[in-house]
Amino acid sequence: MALPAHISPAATPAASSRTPTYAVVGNPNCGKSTLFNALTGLKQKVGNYPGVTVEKKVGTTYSQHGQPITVIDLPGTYSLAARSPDEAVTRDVLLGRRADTPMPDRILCILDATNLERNLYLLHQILDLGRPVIVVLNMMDLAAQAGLNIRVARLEHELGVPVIPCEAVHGKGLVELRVAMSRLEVPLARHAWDVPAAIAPAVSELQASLVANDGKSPLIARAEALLLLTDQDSVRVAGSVPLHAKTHEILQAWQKRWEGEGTDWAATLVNSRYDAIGTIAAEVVLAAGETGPTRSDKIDAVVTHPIWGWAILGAIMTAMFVSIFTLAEYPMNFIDEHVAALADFVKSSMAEGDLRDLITDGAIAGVGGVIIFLPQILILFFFIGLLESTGYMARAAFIMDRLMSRVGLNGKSFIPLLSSYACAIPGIMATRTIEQPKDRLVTILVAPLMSCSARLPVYLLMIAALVPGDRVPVMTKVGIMLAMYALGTFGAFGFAWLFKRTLLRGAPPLMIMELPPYHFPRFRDVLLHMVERGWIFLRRAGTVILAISIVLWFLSAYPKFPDATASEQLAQSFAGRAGHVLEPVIEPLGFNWQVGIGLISSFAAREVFVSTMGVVFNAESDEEDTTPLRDAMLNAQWPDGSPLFTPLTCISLMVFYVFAMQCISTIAIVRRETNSWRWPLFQIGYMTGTAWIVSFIVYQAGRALGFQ
Amino acid sequence: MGLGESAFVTKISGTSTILCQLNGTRIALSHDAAKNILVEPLVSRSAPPAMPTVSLSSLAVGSSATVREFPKSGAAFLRLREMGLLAGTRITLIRTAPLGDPIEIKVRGYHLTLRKSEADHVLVEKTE
Repeated sequence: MALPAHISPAATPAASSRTPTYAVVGNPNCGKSTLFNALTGLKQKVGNYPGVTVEKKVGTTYSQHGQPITVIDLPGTYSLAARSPDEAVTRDVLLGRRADTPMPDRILCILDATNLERNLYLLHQILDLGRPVIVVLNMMDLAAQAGLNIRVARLEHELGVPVIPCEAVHGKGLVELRVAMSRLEVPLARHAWDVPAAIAPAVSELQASLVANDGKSPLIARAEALLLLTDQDSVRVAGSVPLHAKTHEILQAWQKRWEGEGTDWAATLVNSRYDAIGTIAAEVVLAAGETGPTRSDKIDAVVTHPIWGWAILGAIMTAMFVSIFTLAEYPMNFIDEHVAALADFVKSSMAEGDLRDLITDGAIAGVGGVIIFLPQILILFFFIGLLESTGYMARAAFIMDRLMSRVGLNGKSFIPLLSSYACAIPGIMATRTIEQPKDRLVTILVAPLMSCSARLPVYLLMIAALVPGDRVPVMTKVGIMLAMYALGTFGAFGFAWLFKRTLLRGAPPLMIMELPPYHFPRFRDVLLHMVERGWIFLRRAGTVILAISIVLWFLSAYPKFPDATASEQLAQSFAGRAGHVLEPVIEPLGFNWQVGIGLISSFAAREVFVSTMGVVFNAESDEEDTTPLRDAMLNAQWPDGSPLFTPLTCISLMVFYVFAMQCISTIAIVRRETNSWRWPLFQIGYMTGTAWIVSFIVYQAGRALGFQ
Repeated sequence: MGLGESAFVTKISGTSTILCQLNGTRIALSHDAAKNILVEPLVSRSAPPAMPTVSLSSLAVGSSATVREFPKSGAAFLRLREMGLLAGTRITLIRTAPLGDPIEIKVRGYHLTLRKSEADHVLVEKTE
């Protein structure tokens, strides 16, 4: 591919012995992930930028000669003037301000052809850097559909860098892209534009300081000076090299001066860029005039309709939950059988003894109890990915925003919280789309209060004990269940409101969001995303769960009483003693030490409560028929002879489970998503504390009112 | 042609050819010619609006407008500017959310949502 005459090649840094590294940047919704997946396939690794809760995605693609090329997928952004940690990371990596990620050799900038002007804004900033840039003009098919005719050669001429038209979804243009990426030399942009006179002196001063005090090259310094004027370096993240104090002084001095003069310096700069962009766009984009409502417009008319919109939302939610509770059955039983088979195998092939018990009852049982949730979790990731890929996710946020903003949250918190009704883990991992850290954190903190599916076995058992027999209509049982769900939901929203008012007080979240056109889901992207998330869950939760399962096993198996029944062994083990120690604390809630053992064991996972109660009361039960256990529980008594599981105690216990934080898988994931132990521990504290208080109120008030 | 020193000129549009209004007549200048003419911008960027300005949040669904005034400060507004919402930009109000907030507008070929509390501060001039 011969270089056009107006593009002058420039030498790239001496990297001839290794292939250049590429950073991929672009607006959100421009098809960047699809392109990245198309280039790298399964050769991707997801990690974290040290010290920041931003994911680092690195992949390998191959040049046309078969050499590996490293590609970094930077978080999508509309501008290098960062407003959130994700955008700050993109900015810092491109400016070479991160010690852990060297400045990439070349930049791949993805533009969405259907709204070129806004996309050109980011490119305009990137061209300032004076680095080698290849532009990918994506979604050419959609542009054609919208009646836009884009003169690619003209755009290349105006920008001075290679422009590759692409349809990443259909794989078109990838060959040309690989060829372009494989070039030995990629031209530096011929990007001369005049900074507006009002701010030019400030830019020069900042540039000089950046060169002298921060050791930047002149072009990068100029680019950075312009960015400083736009975002004032207001978002800084850990791991990025801070700027010299002198540079900040100059910036502040100029800002003060402009404020006094009344100069709208930020607008001046942005306007100037858009003026330049407008000039380019006028030459390059030929619109076929006003087209009628697009397909997306027609769909949106239904999706955001005051009546149909809710119906559709309800239908989608129902489909999600139904598939989780039914489809997941088969793989869950499959896993159940195989875990049990594995345990049996170990039992039969190992010598009797503690090590064998450790492995079967500790490790296998514990880890198995978590893996059994994997099908549900994967299905949720799939659904969330599907909603995101079609573009519906943005509409859901749009519709629900009013409700969410009442508690200080953003419409984007809706789907994460909704998913938490099935399992909080995918919900918490889906909070990545929430840009502002405080809002994201609040959503993560309250998500487990939405009653997840693991609480169901506990609710069912308690309801069976609460209203035994068929004297009571089904609706009462359903009513109680719904009451628990409602309680959890109110708790979640209540605490969200509280946190945003106090602990994590911040500005009300912005709801400036693009509504991308609808398109058919990209199944490859969705599946890749699902597998990637599932693997993260297994790796993270798996390690923590294994450790805690073994500890819990140890607590219930020791000290050993070889001649005791299972129930007696449990009662006299460390766990049993802990139950006794716990009793004074939980007696005001209506629980005794046996329930205490259940609470301790279900610290790992809520549904373990049922099987633990089975051991404690010497009544094995299975999922379908809890009658033996229920009867045993109803016969249980306090030392003074009064029944233990009175209706009031049952309700108190259910309420406790609504609020208490009892899931180490969730804790492990919260640790990962917040990058510290502080928040998971806080979550345990506030949730379990609330559980105790509410349970106490319920029980004592009930007693005062004369109930048993 | 009347474009002497101290002449008052209003730029109407400018891409590769500059179109301007001068003493009641319209003149077209090539980019190169216009480059050599130095002007001093007057404070108000646009002629007095033909129609009164209203807040963006008060627009009727389906109507188009041109942005006239934009708040100087505020994180939201800087971000909106960077996304293409500038003085002189044409927008169309597409819809409001079923619960009344936020609103959806079409700007520069794409759809954008913003809260009414933000739209309150954006003054626009209705077109057609």
